[in-house]
Amino acid sequence: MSSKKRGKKSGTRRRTRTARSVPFLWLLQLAIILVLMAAGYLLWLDHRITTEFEGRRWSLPALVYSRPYDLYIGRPLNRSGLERELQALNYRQVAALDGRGQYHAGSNRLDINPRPFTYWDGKAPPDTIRVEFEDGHISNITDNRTGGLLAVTRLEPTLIGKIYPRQNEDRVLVRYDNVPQFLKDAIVAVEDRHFFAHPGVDLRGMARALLADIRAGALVQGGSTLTQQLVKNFFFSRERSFVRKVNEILMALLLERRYSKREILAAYINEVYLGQNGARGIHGFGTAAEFYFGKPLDELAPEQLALLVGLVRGASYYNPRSHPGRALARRNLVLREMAEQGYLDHERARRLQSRPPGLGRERGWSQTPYPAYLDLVRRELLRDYRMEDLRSKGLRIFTTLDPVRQEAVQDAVRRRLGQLEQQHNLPQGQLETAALVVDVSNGEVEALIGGRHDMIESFNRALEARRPIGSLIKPFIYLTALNQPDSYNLLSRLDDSTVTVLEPDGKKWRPDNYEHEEHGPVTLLEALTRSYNLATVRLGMQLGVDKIVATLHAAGLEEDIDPYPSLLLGSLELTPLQVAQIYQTLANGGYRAPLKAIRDVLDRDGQPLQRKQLEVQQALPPDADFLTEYLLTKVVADGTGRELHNDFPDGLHLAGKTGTTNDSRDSWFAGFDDRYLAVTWLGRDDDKPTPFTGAGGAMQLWAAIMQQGHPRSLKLVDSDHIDWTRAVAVHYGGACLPLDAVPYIKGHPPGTGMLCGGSPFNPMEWFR
Amino acid sequence: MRRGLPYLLLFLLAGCAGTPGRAPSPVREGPEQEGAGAASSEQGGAENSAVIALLNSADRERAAGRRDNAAAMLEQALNLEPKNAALWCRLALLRLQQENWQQAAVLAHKSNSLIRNNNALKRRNWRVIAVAQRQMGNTAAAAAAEAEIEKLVNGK
Repeated sequence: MSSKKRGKKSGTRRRTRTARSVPFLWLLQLAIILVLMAAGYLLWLDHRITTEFEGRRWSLPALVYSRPYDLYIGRPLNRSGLERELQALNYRQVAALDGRGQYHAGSNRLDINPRPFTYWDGKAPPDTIRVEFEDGHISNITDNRTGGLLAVTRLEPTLIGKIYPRQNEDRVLVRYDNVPQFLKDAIVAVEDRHFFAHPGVDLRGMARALLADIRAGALVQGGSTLTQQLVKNFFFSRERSFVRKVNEILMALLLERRYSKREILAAYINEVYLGQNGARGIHGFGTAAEFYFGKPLDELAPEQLALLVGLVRGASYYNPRSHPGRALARRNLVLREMAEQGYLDHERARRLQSRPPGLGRERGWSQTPYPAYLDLVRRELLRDYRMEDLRSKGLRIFTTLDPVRQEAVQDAVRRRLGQLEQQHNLPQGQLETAALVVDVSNGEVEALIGGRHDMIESFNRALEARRPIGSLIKPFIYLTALNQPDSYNLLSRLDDSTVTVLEPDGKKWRPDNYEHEEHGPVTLLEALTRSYNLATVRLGMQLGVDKIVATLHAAGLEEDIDPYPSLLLGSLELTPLQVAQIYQTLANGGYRAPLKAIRDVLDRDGQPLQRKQLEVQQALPPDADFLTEYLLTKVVADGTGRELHNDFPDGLHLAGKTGTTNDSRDSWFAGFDDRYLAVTWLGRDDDKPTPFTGAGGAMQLWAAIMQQGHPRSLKLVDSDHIDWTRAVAVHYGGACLPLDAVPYIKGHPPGTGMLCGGSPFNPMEWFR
Repeated sequence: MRRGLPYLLLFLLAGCAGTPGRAPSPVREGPEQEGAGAASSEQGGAENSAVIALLNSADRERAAGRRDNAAAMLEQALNLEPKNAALWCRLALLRLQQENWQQAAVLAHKSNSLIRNNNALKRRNWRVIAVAQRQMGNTAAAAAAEAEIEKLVNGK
């Protein structure tokens, strides 16, 4: 617009000079204007294509990995277990190792050629390793090249999810040098045989395509060069018009002026559209290799590469999963074309043509198999990173997820839920659940269930469902009491009788026991292990509700809590994740390790950006914590959790606490072995009653989960400040319960008031 | 603030479990209790050679000045044996080297919470605590830690 105005102005000035030159000048001016406009247009196109080219080169989704699969001498694992893991990672069983991602099985050993992978510490795995097994353990690991002993090594982690760039495209970037020559040859042979000679546009190719089309009476050949196709991919649209075609040609020429053939081919290989996975486009051969074959590009066989090249012409028409016949015919055409152009001899082409397509099993890898866990990862990432960087910088995020355990937990929960519904004649599918498995010593979340249909991204109950925790609060009340050793020990007498509490709003609160009965004088031990409400409310009121709140905060609960007396029976609403945090502290001797799902973050080049060091805080008083952990072992041994003995071998010590809310709307269990804490919740999304107590519902799920993980017997380590009584018998549940010994804080031995028949009468005698 | 450092470095050479490469000290368990369950120590257990290898690698990394790597390896060892007090002590020492005083003290306490009768290891932990507390300017806490060392020395 502005150039037109200028033209008019200057024209007016010149008209006064000579009338004869007017048409000529007008033409000249017009020409100049047109040239300027064309130049401007070209500059604009150039800018557009360059921005796009550079932008594409650098926009990569963040990759989220599980923990690596550690192999170490002594690990309980047999040959078939490791073989299953290798198959899950798409390793190929071969007769003799000759490349990455392969293994060879011997009688009691496996030779493995692990894939290279950049870990946080920059360590690369050796070329080949031999893993030997004995009695269900790894007995030896050797580096086959040096013959040296490897006490510890690892297999690459599983990719569990990606955080995508805005365009919703998937991309596994491959470096030009890592692209198999066969693939480059095949692309050039089939798509653009003069690629290395033309300037971006191939007139001969266009003419040939046109001829072929006329002869066939249909569009059979594209005639577009790779450069043109690349441009088309950048500005993807189905529109076919003359203007578009001209733009495409201009941009192709511009692109070739700016970048080398190598750069253009590399961009093409990473850009071209090769399929669709749900809402997500599969772009580039690296991505397609993983999508169709479950392997990195450089591990594909020639006929597999040819199949991928065949997809360029029509990714859905030639889709090998839905149209295997077409895909195979197209692949064989690619191979024949290559043979005709001399890239391989006809004999080899024929051999390759006779091979099966060799597709990998379809895995929704692009949609994460663990959406609930990935949700946890995303939340943790957003504390430290901008969403923009997560989507585009190609960060590599190493999580604490143990895929083997996660799968086992998912299966166990699904199975046991179905059984529970059947046993209670419930309609299928109304019960919902959430569960977490946490490494007690470092707070790493190894598995997480957000609901029974966990494959679908939906409401993540483990992180979002706030439900009253019921009796799960009780250990924190008893811990608060036991931290006052002058007043309380495990055999202190508590009063389990009716009590009326005045709430801050003036209302009277009359709590009740689950079985609606009073137990009178009971030991502190019995009150917790049998989860008596009345004794607990009396104890909590003596201590002061604010003290309990302080204990919860110390254990890692990060939110304001109103100190209402009803808190003492668990009116407090928490998510399973929050419950897991406070129980982690309790189970770890009072040392809080903030729950985490991320270990390390690397940038796209494998340089560490962030390492989440192991960090613990001394949060709960250790001696009172020890006594509370002891109490929780008694819950399982003699209290509300004793049914667990049906699920575990005798002599296996476990600790835990049941929780049930009014009308069994929520069924909870939080428990641990020597290594892992698991928290399970069971209930309904509509908050309607269920027939399940904590023991009848959530504890059953807990048992199913823990059975999957080879539970280790809990060993409590007492400090110098703990002493033990001699063997005693105490009043318990209306009878006499013999105990080998009872721990107490040094200098504060329990009184003898709650002892019963068989216990020594002289208190001086029964302390060691 | 830096007064403790030369002392600290000297002491670092002593390590937590004697000479590197030897099996880490066993964890003394509580007395045999029903429920509380004491089991045999993990000393000599099948996982030890992996832990030893990790400790040796960690020592090499630390000697080469790559403390983050050394820490990562100790953490990996702790993954294999989370109740091994000697490993916690080593990590505490490394945190001292990393000048992360607060964590050094906590991890040493954590190590102590897993020991009942290994006085040598306990002394080392208290020493870490004393140094860390002094570095943080907590003279009273440092003095208390030193008093614990005295008690342990005199008690034996």
